Amino acid sequence: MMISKHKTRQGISEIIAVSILLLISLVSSVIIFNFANTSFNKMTDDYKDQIDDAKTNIEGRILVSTIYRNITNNNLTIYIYNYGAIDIIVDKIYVDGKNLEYNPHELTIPSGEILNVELPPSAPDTGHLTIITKTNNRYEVYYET
Amino acid sequence: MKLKKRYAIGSQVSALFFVLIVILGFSTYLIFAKNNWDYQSSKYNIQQVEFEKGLENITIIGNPFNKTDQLDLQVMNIGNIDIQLSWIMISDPETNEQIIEYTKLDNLFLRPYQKTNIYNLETKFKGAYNETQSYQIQLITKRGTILEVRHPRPIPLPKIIMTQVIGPFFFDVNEESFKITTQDNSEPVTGYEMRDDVSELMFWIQVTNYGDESIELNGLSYIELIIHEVEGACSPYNSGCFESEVYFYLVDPASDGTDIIPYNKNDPIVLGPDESTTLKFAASQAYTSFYNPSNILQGYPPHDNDDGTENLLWSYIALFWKYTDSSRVFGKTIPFTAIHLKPY
Repeated sequence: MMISKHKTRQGISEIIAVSILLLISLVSSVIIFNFANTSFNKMTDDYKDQIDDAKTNIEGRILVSTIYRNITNNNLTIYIYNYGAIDIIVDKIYVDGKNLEYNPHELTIPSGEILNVELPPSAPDTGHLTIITKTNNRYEVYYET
Repeated sequence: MKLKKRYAIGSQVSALFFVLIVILGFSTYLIFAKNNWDYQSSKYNIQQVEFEKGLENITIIGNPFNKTDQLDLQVMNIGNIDIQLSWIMISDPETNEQIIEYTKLDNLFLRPYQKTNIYNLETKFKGAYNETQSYQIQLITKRGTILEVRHPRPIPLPKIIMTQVIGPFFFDVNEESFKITTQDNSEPVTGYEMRDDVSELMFWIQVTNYGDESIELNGLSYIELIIHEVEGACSPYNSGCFESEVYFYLVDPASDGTDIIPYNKNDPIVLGPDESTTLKFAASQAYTSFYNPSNILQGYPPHDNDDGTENLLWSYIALFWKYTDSSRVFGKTIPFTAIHLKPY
């Protein structure tokens, strides 16, 4: 009678199999959760930023109270009143669609304050003035000095 | 053998995932809802400010420079909403030099129809006043309403014939500002010359409130024509001849060349500062819709100027009014213009 030399081989136990499956599941879960969490946070942050931008845009309110030609330096002086709820920063100033340098550059006007900027002597005596703030507020007026 | 009840771990993981999904979904909703609420709230607040800004109305009462060497600035809220005055600036309108630079006004709240004096400027202004100079006063409210008033106000240059300022009234006497309608002509035509046989006569006179306060006109206001007798021995004008006076009372501004609408005491004409309107005078009695009789410009019988002689009529306007913040009635007689009467 031949006796087999092969040892009796046993399969991976059920416990190990379950453990492996559980490990795979947990790792997958962590990866998916991490991905979802990151995406969710990014999405909510983006949304919050957009809402904040929109809020800032509507809360920023400016108007030009006076424009005149400064007789000492011939600059065009523009007084801007910030009657909105937030501080604003002047970004760009256009006259008749032409972007003009102004001084002081990127002037911050606190809420409720009136400050002035000066345009160079080349700015015309009459024209269509557009002021754009850093928060994308836009103010337009036709002026005559 | 006692068997323990065993739960599959998969069910617990699934339950955990489900709970996570619910929490995630709820958190997402809360975050979006909160941000959206904040945005809508800001939007509402700004819209409210803009709406209220449109309701603001302020005026400067009287002459702020009536005291020697001092500024006596009296401001009144003539709107229907509370106002906070925020800034004042006074400049020279010719040079734009700021005599008083932008100055913040703290805690200057005005309820509707409340007045206030801006006292703290007097010391700043002291010594700066020059009676030969004009001053541009600019007031700005917290909501961004700007009021600009120039003192003394520049008198507009004559256009065609002449201008006159009497009391708070400014008359620009030209072809367009003095017109008539009659039974034969319901479209207004210039009133300096007319036929003497007109009937259903209505005068259309432009007037501007040149003062600083709103004016409410009284229905007893009228235009009076002096019709001198020029018939027979009275032509040309002789002393001792008769003259008649004819009155045309103020009527409702909705009256036109065909109908008189009686002046309405309950809905009077109100003229704000610098506002213009066309006053219509036609009624033979105040607050009625009766025209004067036909051929009234020929004079009352027996002084009919019906023999074809031309005539000149003298006109006077009597205006009665009160300022909207006062019950006191004022009146003014205003010499107006001559009217050339042509015989038909």
